Amino acid sequence: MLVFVLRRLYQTLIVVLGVVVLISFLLAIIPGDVARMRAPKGSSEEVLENIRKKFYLDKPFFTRLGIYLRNILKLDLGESFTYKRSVWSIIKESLPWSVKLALVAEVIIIIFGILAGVISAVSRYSFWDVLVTISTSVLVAMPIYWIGRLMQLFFAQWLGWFPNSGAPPPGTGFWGGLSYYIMPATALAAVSTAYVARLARSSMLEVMRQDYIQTARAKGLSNRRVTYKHALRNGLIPVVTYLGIDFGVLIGAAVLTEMIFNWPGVGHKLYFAVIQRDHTMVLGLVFVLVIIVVFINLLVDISYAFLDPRIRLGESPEVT
Amino acid sequence: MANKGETLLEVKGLKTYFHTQEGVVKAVDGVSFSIARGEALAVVGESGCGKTVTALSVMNLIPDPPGRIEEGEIIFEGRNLLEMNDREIRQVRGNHIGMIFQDPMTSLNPVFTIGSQISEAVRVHLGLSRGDARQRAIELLRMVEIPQAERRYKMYPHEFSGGMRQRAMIAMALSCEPKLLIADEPSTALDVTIQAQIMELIGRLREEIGLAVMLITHDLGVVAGVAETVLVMYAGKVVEYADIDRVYYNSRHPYAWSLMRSVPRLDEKKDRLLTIGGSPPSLINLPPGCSFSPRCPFAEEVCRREEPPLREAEPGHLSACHFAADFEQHGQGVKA
Amino acid sequence: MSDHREPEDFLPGKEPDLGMEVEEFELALEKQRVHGRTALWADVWYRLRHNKMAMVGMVIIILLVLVAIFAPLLAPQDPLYSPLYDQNATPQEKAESVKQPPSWKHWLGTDDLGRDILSRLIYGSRVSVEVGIVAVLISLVIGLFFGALAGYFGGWGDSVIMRSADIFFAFPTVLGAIAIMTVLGPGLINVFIAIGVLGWATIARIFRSSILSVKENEYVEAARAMGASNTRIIWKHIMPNAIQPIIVYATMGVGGAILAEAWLAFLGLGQQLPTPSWGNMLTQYLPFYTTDPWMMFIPGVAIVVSVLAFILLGDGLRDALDPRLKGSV
Repeated sequence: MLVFVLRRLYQTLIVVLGVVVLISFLLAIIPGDVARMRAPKGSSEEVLENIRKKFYLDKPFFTRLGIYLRNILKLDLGESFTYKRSVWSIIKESLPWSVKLALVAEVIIIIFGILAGVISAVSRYSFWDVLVTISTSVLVAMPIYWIGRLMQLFFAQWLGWFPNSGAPPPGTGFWGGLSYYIMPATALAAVSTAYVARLARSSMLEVMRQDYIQTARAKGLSNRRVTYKHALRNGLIPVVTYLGIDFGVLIGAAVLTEMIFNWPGVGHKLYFAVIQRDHTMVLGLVFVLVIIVVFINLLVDISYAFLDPRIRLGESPEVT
Repeated sequence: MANKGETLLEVKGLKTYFHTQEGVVKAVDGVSFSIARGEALAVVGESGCGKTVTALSVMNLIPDPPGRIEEGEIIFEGRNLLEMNDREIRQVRGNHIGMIFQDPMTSLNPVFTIGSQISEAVRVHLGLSRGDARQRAIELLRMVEIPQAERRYKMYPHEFSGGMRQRAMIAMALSCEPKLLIADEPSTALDVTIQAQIMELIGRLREEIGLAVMLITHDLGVVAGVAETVLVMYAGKVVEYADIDRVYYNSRHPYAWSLMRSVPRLDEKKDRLLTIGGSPPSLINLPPGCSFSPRCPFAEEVCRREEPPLREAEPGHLSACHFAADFEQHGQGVKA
Repeated sequence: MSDHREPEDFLPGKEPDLGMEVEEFELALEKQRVHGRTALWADVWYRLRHNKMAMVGMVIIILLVLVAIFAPLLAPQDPLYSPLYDQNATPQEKAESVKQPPSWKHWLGTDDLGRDILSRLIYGSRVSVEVGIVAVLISLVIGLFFGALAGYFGGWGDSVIMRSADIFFAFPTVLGAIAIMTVLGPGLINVFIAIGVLGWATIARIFRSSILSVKENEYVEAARAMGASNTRIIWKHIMPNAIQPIIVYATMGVGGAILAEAWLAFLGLGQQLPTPSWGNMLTQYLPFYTTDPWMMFIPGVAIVVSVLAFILLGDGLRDALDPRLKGSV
């Protein structure tokens, strides 16, 4: 277990360093006269020069790369050009909203994804199985922001069940607040839920034909016990691994859903930064989000070691 | 046939078919045999002859679909297992009939401790408390000669060697003191020395608890020390059924006979082992007449035309060969 | 070597190996791997052809490619023609041309600038097909090269390559693409590059691990013992087997790239207007979802159907290549 954790920590460290270098490199390499792009039209040469100085654009490429590297390591992500504020302050303000939305989405993914997958595997070729298979295939083929718009159209415009968009205004009660979460969280979770369902299904089917399942049956255990004790525990291992990887997908999807639902999270800010070509802010936000994804992955990997004694007890973990 | 006592298990005309896209696979096609209390029966044959399917049919563990028990009776202690409902059959499985499988590496659930897997059956069938079940499991681990049973109880399957896992499997199968143990190639996946130990263990446990054993194997070398009766299967059918000495020294079927000849033996000096040419037939497209005829060195015209019935070649010795009665001469002729 | 036959061995879809000695069967398989490659692919094709869903996917893909190639012949009108910018159009014509529902003149109606949606959809398919093919090709070239290098030679090169793959893998596709596109600037060529570059890590990983598993096989050892060169071993013995999971992944990857074009367009980074792409059409029609919802259904459905087609074909290919994996993701 310790060896496994240390190994994963080492891998994570390398990845984080790599991400730092990559982001600094991207910041340094931006082509064209960034100052001219950012400054208001008709600014004097002096203003432009000031901007260049501020963003170290007057320095040669490698010096610039060095400065960005040092700044990022000091967690200084620079200043947003459009907001005229430090990127950090923007993150601090918007991240809690994203985290809340992501948590609700994660709950939806885990409950509905695993439930659908297991039901579908247990009653293979039944009506439910066919329904799950078809709907998951269609879901993963849909552009996520379109899912969001369709939900707004059906559930807010036509049926009027939920507020169309936005975060719950201050002072909204729990249930009233929840109604603001349901649509964006569901849209955010949709694609991942489909993937988890498909994975849970195939994983359960695979486990159900293992020798130890036959052993369990030969012991005279009931079908329910065989399925939900012996098979599920094994079947969930790849699902949990996937949930870690999937967190990145979720963060990416947040950029698209938060915009559609006008949700004041990091994704929303990132969307506008992209539209405004605010380079420092885009790369700063991407950097923070990627680091979050990396650490969530680390946590998930360590936690699934608890599910699988082969990894917990130090046998070579199958991490490729 | 060695009739030691009253019949424990009787299988009558068992037919288990698999319905596949290519056609109906008659994996087991009219197999009958019986096992008395305390008796050990060896079911012998090449891969795909229906040995394992026969065993799984007895346990009622045939995956359906595509498999189905089409016909026959499986009478265990006077009750037909095929007429039982799900709950009743589960009472028999693991409780009255224990089963161990070929590959101990994959037959144990990797995410549960050895101990919990052994005590699970006891708790389900005998309703023991957690503590009692634990006590029982540790006793069982001792019985199958696993050292440091208390410590081993808490370990996971991947911490056990292959031989140890098979011992744990045996402990699990015997946990509820079953009357019959079905051992499906219990030693095939193990090293030769471990094989011998496992077979020895099964032999010893038989004597100690008066267990009846149905041993499924393709390895006749393994049979000799353990079983009293041998059932030879070929292409889903019984071809020879007699006590072990008769099959070994006086076989009345060319297939069984050549199987015996293909086992290396220390007590006989031979220049080379006899091997069986060709491969077993497809169970979907069986040849007409005797299924073994295409590979049989003695086959004559009648063999390719008529299927030989299973009948007594001598008292207590069943054989499905047209020439069962005068097979000895045939055999001698080839040996020379 | 297993002599034991599980009941599952009788399941449909398995090799019809009943009644063959396991050793013999494996020998035959080995022979097939080394010599009868054509037989193997014929077998794959046979299984694929009997998979209805995969065939549906394939037909849709063929149609999609045909539409893209023959777009100028198929499109009823100029996809860029807008009456609003037409000097000869009367003010009334201009006013009536905008956001028309489907009619005989405009089968799928017109957009907010009065352009024919069907024609834009037909031309837009070109962007989707291009993005799918080019981006996946870029990923394949980079990924296969580094995957082969890492898997076949191992050592420190393997470590460096796989650690770099880890770094790329850490970037969720959306964020990675945003980061790259921010630096490169918007445009179709840059979409190719961003999606292509981001895909290499996964392909390299898959290819590396399948090389590692194939490498240990006896027939590769045998080839090496007989003095075959590295390139020969890679191309003749390892490639045909290790490439199978890659084929599946690449097929699905084309669908993924089509989707990626759609969300990059949403971020204003994809194909720039007025040239139509399904992504920028969908983005352009989204704001009218309350008043004219039918507009956003058209490019949306086109995207879903084509992405789905690649998923179905990929699923079918995987089942056909390795029947044992049937039903896995």
